[in-house]
Amino acid sequence: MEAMTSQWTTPVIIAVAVAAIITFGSWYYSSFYQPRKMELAFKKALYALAAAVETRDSGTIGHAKRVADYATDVADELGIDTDKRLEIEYAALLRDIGKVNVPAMLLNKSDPLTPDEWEKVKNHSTLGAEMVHAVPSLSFLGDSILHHHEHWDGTGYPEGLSGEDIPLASRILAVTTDYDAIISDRPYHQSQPKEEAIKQIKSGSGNKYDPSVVDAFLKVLEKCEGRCEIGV
Amino acid sequence: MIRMASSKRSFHLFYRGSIVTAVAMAVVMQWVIPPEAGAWKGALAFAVLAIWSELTPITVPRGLGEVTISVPMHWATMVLFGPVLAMLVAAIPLPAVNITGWICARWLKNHESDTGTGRLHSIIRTLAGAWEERSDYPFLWALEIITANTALDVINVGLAALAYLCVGGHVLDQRYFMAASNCTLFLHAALPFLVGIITYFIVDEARCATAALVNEPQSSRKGSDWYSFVLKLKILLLGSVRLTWSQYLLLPPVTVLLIYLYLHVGILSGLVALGPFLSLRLAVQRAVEREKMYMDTIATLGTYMQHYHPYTRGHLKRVAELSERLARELRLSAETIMLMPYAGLLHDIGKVGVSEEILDKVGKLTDEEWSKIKEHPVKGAEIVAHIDFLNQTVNWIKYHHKWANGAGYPDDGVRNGGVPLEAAIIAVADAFDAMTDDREMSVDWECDTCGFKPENGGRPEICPVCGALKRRVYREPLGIDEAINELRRGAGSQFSPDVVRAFLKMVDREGIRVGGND
Repeated sequence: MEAMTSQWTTPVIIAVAVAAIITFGSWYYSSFYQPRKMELAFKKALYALAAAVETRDSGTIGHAKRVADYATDVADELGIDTDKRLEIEYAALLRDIGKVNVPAMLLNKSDPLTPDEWEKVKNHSTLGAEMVHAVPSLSFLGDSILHHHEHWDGTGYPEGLSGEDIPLASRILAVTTDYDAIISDRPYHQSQPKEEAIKQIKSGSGNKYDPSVVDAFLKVLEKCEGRCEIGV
Repeated sequence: MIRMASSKRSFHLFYRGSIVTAVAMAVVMQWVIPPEAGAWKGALAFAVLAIWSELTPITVPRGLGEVTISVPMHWATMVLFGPVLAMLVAAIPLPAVNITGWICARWLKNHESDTGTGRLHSIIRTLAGAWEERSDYPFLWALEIITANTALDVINVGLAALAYLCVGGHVLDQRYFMAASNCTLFLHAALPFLVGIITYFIVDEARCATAALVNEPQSSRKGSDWYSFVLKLKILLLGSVRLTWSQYLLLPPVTVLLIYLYLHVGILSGLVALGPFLSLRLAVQRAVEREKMYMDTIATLGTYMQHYHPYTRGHLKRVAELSERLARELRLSAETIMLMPYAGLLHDIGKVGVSEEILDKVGKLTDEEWSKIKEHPVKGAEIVAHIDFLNQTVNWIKYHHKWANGAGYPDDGVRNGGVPLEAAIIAVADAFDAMTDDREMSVDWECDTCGFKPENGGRPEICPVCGALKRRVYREPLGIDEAINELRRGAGSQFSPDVVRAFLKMVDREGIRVGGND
């Protein structure tokens, strides 16, 4: 009897111990390795850096964040996969980071810019692309940032790309940035109502913007109701 | 693990006292409860396993210290071999690791020229790492720290084993284990085992808290009366328990498994118990790597954002390096040393929001312009506050323009005591590098309005082509000696005397290089 008892106790105790180790081990593992949480913290940090650039540029506080929200919504609407979606979000946050290199005076000027000054402001997309290129883990954002001011018909800058040659992320950014700029106050213009902004975006479809992106964006606006009107 | 050392009396008292206690305990135990004759073979195997585990510790991020399997090893030996052998096994790994580390470090020093990348070389480098952590200390000091830490381990195990025996625990050998009924095992092994663990936990916490208390810098221990001592001990104790309690959930099952397998299968079975630790190591390693990647990305991007000013390029990197060296010299925690370069790179990030007309203005600044400049540490701190990885550096950045005598900015009423030492470190590094930087002289002058570059290398104050006023005043850099004199003169008023002292000591010993590329 005694021998029998110890015969089955041992395996049971070993099994319990193994189970306990696995349970606590995996709990331990997950408490130390939390990629999701780290990624969120990383995104927050990128946003903080983007916001730092925005302080140079009065009237754009929160702009990057809102553009990132719109852009990811559009990406979802277009059914874009997770990796690409992340790229779009990061590109939206860091899109204007090149503005650290543009004199603050020009960014805040309410009078029309001279051609020279305009060149300098336009340079921000190239500068931003160079900057992220220099950071190995962010270099994949270079193209999206470089081309975020290209137009669908090839009249944009810096390279005058047109149509599908423009990276998708840049095409999405072009629409969402402009929308947010129209409904916000800027040194050079007053904020305008949502309807007016939609009208302008629609009229740009096919020449300034990619029509399929515009369609997706309009759908997003219909869905998101209240929160899209905030944009001071 | 006790790292910091000072020449204080309490420190030596604590360490030497623990060494004497450990030896005395071992002798008395040997006399009262001698181990069984054949038990040493098993104990030897455990000692080997313990050395291995000590060689490959898991460093947990965020200052949670290191996890090794030494704790379950301690517990298993306490149950299997009795107090004396358990104490001996506990005494072996730390000295063994440090001796190998010392040998490897010497070997590396002698073979500095051949930069081998082979597997052997990397193993040797890892082994040497265990010693290098202490190599800043004088040799005898390092020896004392190691011996004392070993002694504390030994006392810990000894007391736990004593508690195990006192509540009726029986030293488990194979014969006793096989013959005993479940009830006997429960009363004479399982319950006492729990008591042993709890004793171990309490002694361990008390010892860590006391060590931390003894290591406190003198200045922050103002009230030395008994009440404040107890209060401080309580705070440290609670903090330490919060960090380690979860380990005590994971470790007992590992120990039980270790004991069972040892009694049934034999010595090799100990390897099975290592499984969870290997997976834990993997998790921590991956977490640390990923976190470092994110932090590097943020810091690099933040650094590039400040590069529009050619002057900042090499400067930020040098401030980062110098701050890290100063933190090391001041024996700050490993985590601080790890974070210091990031803070150094980002300390001026708040200037991103200040327009360059103000930053580069030649003439006298108006009050308004001056207040804009003064905002940059606070703005920088606000930015960094959003970067969770660098949470701890917020106040370092916020106060890096605060003087030791309370002057400087931001003027938010924070006095001497409220300014972290790390901010004072950045202030010294920043000032020293700014004084000695020849960067602005070596960068070719170029008009940033029209792009004009003079042929003769001149530095006009007004651009001859477009007539724009160049704002930056170029001054000759100070020599190292002059800059050091400036620091010495400012110690106590502008700079923290502690940091300046550390700086002088470091320069005396290792010298310092100024300037350099970005």
